[in-house]
Amino acid sequence: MFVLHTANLYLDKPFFSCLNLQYGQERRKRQRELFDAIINKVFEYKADALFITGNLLDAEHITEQTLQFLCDRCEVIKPVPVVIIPGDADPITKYSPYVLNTFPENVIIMNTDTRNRWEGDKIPIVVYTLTKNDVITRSFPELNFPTGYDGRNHILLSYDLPMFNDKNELSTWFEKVPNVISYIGIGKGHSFKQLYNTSQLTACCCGLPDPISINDTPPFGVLGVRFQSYDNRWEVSHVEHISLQKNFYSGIYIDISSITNKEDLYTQLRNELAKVQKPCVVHIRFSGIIFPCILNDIAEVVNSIHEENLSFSWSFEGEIEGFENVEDFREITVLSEFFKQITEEQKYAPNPSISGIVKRARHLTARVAGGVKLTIPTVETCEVPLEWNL
Amino acid sequence: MEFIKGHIYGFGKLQKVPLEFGKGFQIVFVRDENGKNTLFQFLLDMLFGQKTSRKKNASFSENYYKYTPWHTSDYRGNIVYRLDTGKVIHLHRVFGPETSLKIYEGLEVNDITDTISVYPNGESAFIKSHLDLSREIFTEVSSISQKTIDSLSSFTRSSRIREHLLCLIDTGTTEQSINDIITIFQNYLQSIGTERTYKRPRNLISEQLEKLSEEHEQAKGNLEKILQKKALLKEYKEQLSTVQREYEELQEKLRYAQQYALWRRKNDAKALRDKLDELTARSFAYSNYRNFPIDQNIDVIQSEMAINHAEMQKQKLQNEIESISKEINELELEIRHSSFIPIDYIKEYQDKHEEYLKHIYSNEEVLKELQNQRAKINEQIQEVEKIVSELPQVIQKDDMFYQKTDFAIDLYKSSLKETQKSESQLNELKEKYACVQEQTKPFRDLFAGVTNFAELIDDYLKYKDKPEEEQQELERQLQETELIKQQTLSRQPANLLCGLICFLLDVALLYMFIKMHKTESLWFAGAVGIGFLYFMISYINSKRSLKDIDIFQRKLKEEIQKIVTFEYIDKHPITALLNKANLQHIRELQGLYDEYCAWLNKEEDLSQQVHKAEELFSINQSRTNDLLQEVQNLFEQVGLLLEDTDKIEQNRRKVFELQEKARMYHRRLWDLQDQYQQLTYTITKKEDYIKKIHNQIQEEILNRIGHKLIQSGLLQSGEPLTQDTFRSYYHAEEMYHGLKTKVSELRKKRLDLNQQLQKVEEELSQNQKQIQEILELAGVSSISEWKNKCARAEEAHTIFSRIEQTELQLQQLLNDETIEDLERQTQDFVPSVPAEDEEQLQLLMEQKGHEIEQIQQDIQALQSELEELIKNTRPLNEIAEEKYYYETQWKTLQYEQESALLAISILQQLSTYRYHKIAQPLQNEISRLFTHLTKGKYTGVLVDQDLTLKVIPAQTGKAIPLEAISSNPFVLEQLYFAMRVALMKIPHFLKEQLPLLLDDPFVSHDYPQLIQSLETLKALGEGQQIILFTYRNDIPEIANNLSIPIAIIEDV
Repeated sequence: MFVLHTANLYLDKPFFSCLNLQYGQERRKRQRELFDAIINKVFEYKADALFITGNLLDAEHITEQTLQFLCDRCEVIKPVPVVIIPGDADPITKYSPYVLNTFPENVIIMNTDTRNRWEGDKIPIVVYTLTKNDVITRSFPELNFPTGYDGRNHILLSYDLPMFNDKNELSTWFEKVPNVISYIGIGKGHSFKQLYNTSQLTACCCGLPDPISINDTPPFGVLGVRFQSYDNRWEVSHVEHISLQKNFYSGIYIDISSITNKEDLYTQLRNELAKVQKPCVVHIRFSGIIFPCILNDIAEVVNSIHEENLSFSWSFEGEIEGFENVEDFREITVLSEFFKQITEEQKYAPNPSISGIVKRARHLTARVAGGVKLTIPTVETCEVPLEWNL
Repeated sequence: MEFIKGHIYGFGKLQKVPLEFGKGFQIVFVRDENGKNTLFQFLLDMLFGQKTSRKKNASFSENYYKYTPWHTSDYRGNIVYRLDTGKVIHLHRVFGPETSLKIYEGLEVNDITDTISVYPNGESAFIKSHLDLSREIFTEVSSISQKTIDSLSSFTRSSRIREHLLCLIDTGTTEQSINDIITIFQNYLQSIGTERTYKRPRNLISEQLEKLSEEHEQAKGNLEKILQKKALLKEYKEQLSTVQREYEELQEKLRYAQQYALWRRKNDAKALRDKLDELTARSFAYSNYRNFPIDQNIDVIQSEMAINHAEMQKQKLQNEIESISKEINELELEIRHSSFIPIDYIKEYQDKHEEYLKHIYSNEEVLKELQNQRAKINEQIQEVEKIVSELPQVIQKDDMFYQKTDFAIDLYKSSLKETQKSESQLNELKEKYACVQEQTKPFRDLFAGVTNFAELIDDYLKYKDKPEEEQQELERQLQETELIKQQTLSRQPANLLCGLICFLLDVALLYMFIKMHKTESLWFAGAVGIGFLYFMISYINSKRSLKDIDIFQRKLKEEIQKIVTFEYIDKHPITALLNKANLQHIRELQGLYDEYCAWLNKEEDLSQQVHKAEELFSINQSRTNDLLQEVQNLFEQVGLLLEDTDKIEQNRRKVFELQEKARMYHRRLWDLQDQYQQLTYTITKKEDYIKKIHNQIQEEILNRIGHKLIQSGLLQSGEPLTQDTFRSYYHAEEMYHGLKTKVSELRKKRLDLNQQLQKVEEELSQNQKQIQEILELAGVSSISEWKNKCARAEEAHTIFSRIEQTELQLQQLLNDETIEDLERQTQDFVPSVPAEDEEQLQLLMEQKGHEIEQIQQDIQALQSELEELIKNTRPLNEIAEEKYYYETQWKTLQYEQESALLAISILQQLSTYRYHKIAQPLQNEISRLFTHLTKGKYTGVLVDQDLTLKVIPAQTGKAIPLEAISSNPFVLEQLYFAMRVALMKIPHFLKEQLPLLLDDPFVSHDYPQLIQSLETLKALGEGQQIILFTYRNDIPEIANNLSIPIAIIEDV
């Protein structure tokens, strides 16, 4: 028996970008492609079931088209059952899409309050989910499982566990899990983890099928769980991580001190971008001492090469040659005195916000003094502070 | 600092060129421009090297490649310069990839290279300790190029001088000042926009955000509706399935009821067949009366009654015909007496007339309405003009007045903040100063009047520790003075005697001159007179010296006496200080004095800081007051009084409202005036149109039918045609036709009556004939016999008709079937319970069917509503993404605005402070130089706090602006050079007084101008090294003529 286990697809989730208005639509399109890829894997591996343990949808933002798409794709793999566990982003409520919409017969939505058990009619499988009471009592009073092995594969699926963040308590809890349970599939968390592994019981967090922010760490994909049976008893024989990554994030750090002309800048950026897998969300951080003329060229160069990426932004964290990098000469001009004073003010700024404004004031003045044309960042160019992006 | 000499081994095209520089103004002549530039850059590269920055691995500058020697590989040079301290420095630099620099100091040429720190790029940091300037600042401050002088040659030369001065002080260049930077920032802020601008990024983003917020709310509401409708749809679907189930149940019941009804029909048919058999048996007794014409009975009775009625009618018609004939005769007589003339197609004329009148009325109404509207608009125009005239003039004329006010207020506010900050700093310093003064007070009391403490201590120790030695010294001095006294006394008689001889000789020589008139005697007398004066002065001096010696001796004796009696020590100020401070040892007193000095230094430092803070505060305050004054002026221009600064915002709003009001009313006034003009045009057109219609009435109607109407007496000649005229015509016509019609009607009626009479007579004879025929057919002789036979025939008819009825019922019940067929159909059916009413069941089924249809329709409607809602609602995620997009941009704009305002505020504060600080020393230097250059024609230059320059001509002694002397470019040039030199001479401005390097600035000067300029520089060069690098061919000759030192650099 082979099942696919995934979670956290967040279909129709909004994706924010301060540069590209089409970014969100593009990402949602890719989410649907990702689901298509999962369905293809069901065929490819001849999977007996597909488990989605939470956050299949972003219930607040889900659209009719996406729901229809979901139904169509689930219909395609009939009679392979698709067991869905609601998560934080798609809980069961009065107006939940799981309640209001009609899904194909092979889609089983496990509601922690009303339906916590499902038995397969074509394959020997029983799927359980934890009720609220189970979570509170940290035991299994409401799980109606058999006392002995009955030749069927018993699997527990849940979005969350009662003591997910405490390793010791978690292993104690796993020890209390009834013997008939062979596999526990968890949806919470954005990274793949094998929580428990004995010959009798295996518990896994499936992580993310595709990254949704720069903070998410690989591997990305779905889990393929293979079971085998001995004497009426089922065990996990192999857990395989199947990669399905569709989007890539990259933060590029460039010391611009050695760059003296536009061509060099273009070449270096090209070389750096060539190393990144596409389609990608890229943020370039320039540092070091820059010549004013080069600063003038960054926006133009960036505009000429950013079309291959989903989102392309940059920020300048260095200093402008001859102005901001105040040399130790006497301040005979008002301008040099200004840079000395504003450097002091930045040093003693009461909070990061004011420090940022002072730094920007210093930077703007250096730009003007260096003959660089002032352009409004974010609005006119792709210049965006790192913390505002991604 | 000044250059002494140098040597170029190889630099660009120059090779093995020795350089010599002297003091003052000098010229370095190079044969071509390229060589001149090379030499100029050589000096700079020698001082500052050829690296682009201080960083490690910094690349070479453009000069490195440009000046690689053409004819040698010896890429190096040396220069010698003297610092202001007199120290002589030798630099020996090797350019190229293996760059190196050796620095030697003094005449002994000590290698000091290793004592100077090195930057990461490998360049020695000697320039920091020698000049303390960057290459850019050095170049801009110490050199003057042709571009600079050319830019001064324009008609704005007088203002250019100040601009150059500001640029040099602000940024160390001649092209950019702090004001320029602030202007760029202001333009940047303008390009971003404010709340009160229009269609700038800030406004556009703000609009987008507002729209998106509304859209977001709407989408949320729609989403809620969609969910509710989806829930409702689900409910409807469940309801539909329930009703469909009920419908199926009803169908089953109907089937049972139909079977039951069939069973009942079979039983009824059997009963009807039995009844038919019984009636057939009774009918045999009435077989004779079956064919009697009983149906003719009614005809007989009716014909009898008709005969009676016809006879009565005949009499009545004959009477009526007679009365009508009489009436016709009377009416024909009346028609003959009438004078009416009928007009053909009168209706068409009337319609046309009415149509024209309708047009006139409608147009007149419109015209009236338009005139009312015009009057109203006129009133509105007057009202609006009144309102506009009441608005301040400046608001009316200047569309950007509010923007100006707004900017002035922002500047004022930022300045106010700065003032408050500087005031608090001043107060803090004053407090500190007061504390220090308090601490210093006991010391001050103790050391009051003590000025030279160290000398006093030395003096005290001298007399205390070694009194004998001092006494001996004094006695030695006494003896020496006695000796001098004796010498002087001995010289006195000789001086007196010589003087007397000279006097007598002089008298004798004068006598000789009077007697002999020989000028030689007079010359001798003069010489002897001088001798006499010499001896007499010597005598008087010796007398004075003796007196001084006596006084000095007396003092020495007193001193000796004091030392002998120890009175000197007792009365010494140090003894008094020790007593006052209750101290034993002199060291303790010294310690106290040191402490006192430290406090005094601290106090002085604080005093200076307080002074500076006061200056800063006063500058800020005056600037704030100026800005406030400017704001008040702006408010006053729109009639707003600023009694209190708290009301600035209120007034700003009022100005904004006034500006908006003015714009609004102007627009409204223009609109109204347009409307007024349009209405006037429309009214004129309408009036013309009405006149045209009147003319048409005259031509098309009155000219054609008027004469007939006049003949009929319905219209007077010259009277206009009206509706009443037509009405009168119709009335007369009606009367005329009425009479005619009545006559014809009466004639027709008489004819009808005659025809009726004829018909009645025919009917009477026909009825009598019909009765006779019926009686003959029935074989009856009279009407009484007919009535008896009729009663018997009616009974027979009843029996036969019942048989027919029963047969019909049976046939209807069975239809095409037989009783046997029915028995066959219902053979298995046994009714268990009575069946429900079939009709009722069908009714119920229909109801359910309707219900199903209704629900299906509801579902369909709901689905289409849902589809419509979904179609019209943009996905919430897209809106949220767009909102984030614009919110981030909004945040960026705010960030930029705050940053730019901060930069402006600091730049303004620093520049004001710097100008204030530099103004006075600059004025002193520039006045001195300018007076010297103009040879006293101008007595000074006045430098205001904002560095505006004014010159003071010697003639008037009153300061005049530079514009007043703009007609004299030579004086302005002198002033410019004086300013540049003065700037370098200001104390504490530069570490070293730099040489002025002129990069051939006089290329475009003609010969007389060149001579004037060179003379100016020569005069300035008296206290300053000025080197003119030039390739102009006429320079060597001029230099020789003006005695200016010149060094000629030959080509390679």
